Amino acid sequence: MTASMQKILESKLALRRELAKRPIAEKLRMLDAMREREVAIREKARPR
Amino acid sequence: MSIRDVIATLNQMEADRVIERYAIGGAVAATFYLEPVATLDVDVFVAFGTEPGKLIATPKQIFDYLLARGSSMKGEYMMIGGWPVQFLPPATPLVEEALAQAREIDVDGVPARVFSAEHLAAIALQTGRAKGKARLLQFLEEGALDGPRFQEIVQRYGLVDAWTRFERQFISDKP
Repeated sequence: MTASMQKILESKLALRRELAKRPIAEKLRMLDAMREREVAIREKARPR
Repeated sequence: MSIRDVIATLNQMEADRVIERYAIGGAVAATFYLEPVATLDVDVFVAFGTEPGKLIATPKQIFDYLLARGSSMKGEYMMIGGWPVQFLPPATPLVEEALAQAREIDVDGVPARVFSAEHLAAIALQTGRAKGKARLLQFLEEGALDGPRFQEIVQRYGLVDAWTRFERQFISDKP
């Protein structure tokens, strides 16, 4: 693995750890928002 | 659309004795320990009761209760707070234990009962699905597991071989 790729993976893991440490209520609100977006995308992608 | 509404409804169902004990599993439970994990539904584990005169346990009492309070059914799901919620029986001894030993976690003053991180990881290992393995890796990479407790569960439920295979495939570089 190249040094730059290693750096990218490390920064991704750091972001995931930072998100994991956020208050649970905030993380659950993020889940709500992610589901709303996913439902909207699926609705738009549905053949008419 | 709010998971908090789902949690509040589950607590009310318990208070009203429609269910004896619930615990949230799956991706929503994993979010209590990891970064938010996108999901379309909520898995809720409950021990189903039996109807009078019937031997097979059913979720009918749960459905009747929720339908009477404005929820709707969508396939196998009950819609609560805009979320499709699936009520599942604990189908294996490991899931039974996960339900019995689920943790109560405060969400802004509302208690939520969720599977422990170690049980979620062991269930992912036992189920063996790709997304479960990905979740198990997340638990490990982020240091979200109590290692000795997880290993104790792995041993007690005969998952040592599955764990060895997982380690070989995803953690060590051994061929």
